[in-house]
Amino acid sequence: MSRRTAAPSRGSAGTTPKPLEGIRVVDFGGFVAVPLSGQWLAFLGAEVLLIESRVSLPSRGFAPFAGEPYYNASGAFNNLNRNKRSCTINLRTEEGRGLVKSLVAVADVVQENFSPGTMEKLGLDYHTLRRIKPDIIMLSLSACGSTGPWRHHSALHSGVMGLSGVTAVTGYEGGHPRMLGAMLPDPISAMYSLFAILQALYHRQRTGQGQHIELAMTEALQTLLPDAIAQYTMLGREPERMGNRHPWKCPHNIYRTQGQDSWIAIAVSTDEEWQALCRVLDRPELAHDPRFANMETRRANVEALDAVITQWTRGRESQEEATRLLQAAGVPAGPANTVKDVVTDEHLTARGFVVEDDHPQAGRRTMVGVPWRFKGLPQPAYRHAPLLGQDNDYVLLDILGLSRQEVQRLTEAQVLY
Amino acid sequence: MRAQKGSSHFPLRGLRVVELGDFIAAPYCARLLADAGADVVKVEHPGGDSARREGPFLDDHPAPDKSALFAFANRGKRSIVLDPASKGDRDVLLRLVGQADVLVHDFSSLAESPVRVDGERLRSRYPSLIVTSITPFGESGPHSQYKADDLVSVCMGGVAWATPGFPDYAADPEQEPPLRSNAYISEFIGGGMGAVGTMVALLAREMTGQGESVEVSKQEALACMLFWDLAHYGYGGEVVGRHPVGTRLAPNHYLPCADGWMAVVAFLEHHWHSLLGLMDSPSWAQDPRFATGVERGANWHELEPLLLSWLLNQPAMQLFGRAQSVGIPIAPALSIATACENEQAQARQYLVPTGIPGDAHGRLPGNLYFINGRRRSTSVAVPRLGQHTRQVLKEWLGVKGRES
Repeated sequence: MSRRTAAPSRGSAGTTPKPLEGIRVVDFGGFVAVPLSGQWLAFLGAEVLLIESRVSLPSRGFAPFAGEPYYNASGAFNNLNRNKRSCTINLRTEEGRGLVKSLVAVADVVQENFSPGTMEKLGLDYHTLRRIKPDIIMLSLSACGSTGPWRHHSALHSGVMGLSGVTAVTGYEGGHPRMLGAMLPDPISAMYSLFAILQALYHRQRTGQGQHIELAMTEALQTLLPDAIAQYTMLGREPERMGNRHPWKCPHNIYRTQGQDSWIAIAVSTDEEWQALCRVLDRPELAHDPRFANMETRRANVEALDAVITQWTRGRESQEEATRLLQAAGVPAGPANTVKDVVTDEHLTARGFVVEDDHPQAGRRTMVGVPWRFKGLPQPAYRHAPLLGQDNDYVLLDILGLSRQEVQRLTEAQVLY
Repeated sequence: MRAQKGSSHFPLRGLRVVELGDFIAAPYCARLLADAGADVVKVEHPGGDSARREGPFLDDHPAPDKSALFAFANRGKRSIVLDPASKGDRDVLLRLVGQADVLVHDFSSLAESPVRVDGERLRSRYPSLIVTSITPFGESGPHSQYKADDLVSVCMGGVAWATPGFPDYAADPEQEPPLRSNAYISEFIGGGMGAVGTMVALLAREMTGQGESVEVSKQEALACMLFWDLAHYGYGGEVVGRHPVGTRLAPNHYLPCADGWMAVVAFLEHHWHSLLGLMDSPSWAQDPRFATGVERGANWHELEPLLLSWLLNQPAMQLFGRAQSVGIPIAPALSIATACENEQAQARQYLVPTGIPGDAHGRLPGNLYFINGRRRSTSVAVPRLGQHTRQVLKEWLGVKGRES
């Protein structure tokens, strides 16, 4: 049973189709999380139609920018919306909402992260859309969820981080709660959104049924914290912030190396790894030193231990040299990579993870690809993020079958805006 | 035993999964598939999964069936024990794999796993089988044989150098090194991406009838999330990480209050004016240096002490409620206790029992998804080591009694 709505791309006969070939997504995603889930859908072969409007362009407003106009130049937007099409429909107009309904009638998935209640106000809630397309799959993501007393509370990634409790387990020994980096609440929510949409597509394939999926970013973040949550609920103890130390592994820390703000992680979880570390440090006697004989004594003497290790790490010529020596001896270790290190990493580059984007306005920029490798399926062909409204003709003429005159009129009436 | 009643949407019901995983990433991947309805058989060696030896334990008493971490990554599965040293057990494992739709594992090469057959040969024998691997660095590339735990993974994936991250930052990068959360972030993200990749392969199999090899590296699973750092580096050459961001609107900061820390986000003009309202419109608010988000950012050093003199008298939960009631996206950094027990958590019933026998109080995150308005249920039955060996061999292979 093939229920996919978008036309398969031409010229693909005889080759293995992309896994989401023929799936059409109407994407109302703003900011980061839902845009990223839409981008992953697009990388996997879905036709993702980003519906946006000059009335408000939240995702296109993030600095840094590469030139003018700003809305085609945002580094964050252009990292998060690749392989999509952009269509400018003004949802504040009745006709605009009508166009969206016509699109939903020929779509498979709708995804949104407006504040809860907004889709109802627009008359585009699941119950309405289901009447237009009975097997539509809709995903709604919000900060605290669409039910409960905090359903209208709003938060950026920083608020989600705090409300989830991630900050409570992030920090230096004895210090206050800190923010986990890389704005992770958004991409993690994107990952779980994508997982739910793929399950729903599979379910629909089997049963013909659509569904409405809702999830909360705070709850998505808490999947990282089961041990902390159980420590409190089961044992009544608040977990500790312990810098880079570990409840039982030792040594387990990030050590200073030569160069500006340059560091290496070393994590020892067995006595064999400890003995191997002693050989790398060229301090075989330490393996017999009673202060460091086992995990327990090493933890008790961790300051002295870390001083010995730092003396060695500071003496290496580079993070690479230190990593190579440690890994060759079987000690888990590796550099604390900056984003620059990540995109120049020989391993990630060799695996084809680092990609060069070529954007009509911003030019060539380094980005990264998907975290999945499939042996049989085609890998994504990466395409730059859309210029604002670049696909209006495709969406209105080709998909919806409007006339040029009609598109002209809608543009003048700022329905297409 | 299901903790939450709910929708019957279990799309993977009837799907068979064999999991040959240890600790968190591969087991969590298989757990997510179990949550979606799959019949997951976890294959353990006689010593058991190492997460059975990792706390927190019920009553602080280390025992293989009392780990909450193991419970979270393995509830809803069945556990069988097979001895990799036994030829007979390895044959049984291969026959189980032959009955499965999906094999999830964490070996850098299946040939070195108890299956003892490499992935391609296994898939030519079972053409519709999906084989998903989750490893620190993937199966190919110059670092594929490197060893890593969560600390090494969050470092090499670029997250640690970026922590504490925006809107927080390291005041002194020498005194505040790259930081790992006291949580297994790379494990859960690696497992989640493994589950996503498996779903992609299942959808493709519906079209092609063919199985697939899916490979996930924890390093890439983390690095594909670095959009903020990538945007700043790719579009401006700036390596931000845990260093303060050069230009920023204000306030969009992480600041102390009377009894904790808050994400203070009020750079948009209507949010700023609402915040000034909460502050009873102080006289300094008229200063032209604070007129717009850009001005407030440029003059943050003057504004910060003025804001702090008020903020340090505000209790976190009280300010959170007042700010949200007028639409300002301000939120506190909650303790784990408050994150688990606030009114929203109580209303949404996300946390479910640990499923550890004898545990009356412990709770763990349940099922994330509401389907058609009802939260999807989650099995909280935690398998004992080898609890289902007999049952699974009988059900999947028709073996009565087990000779070992």
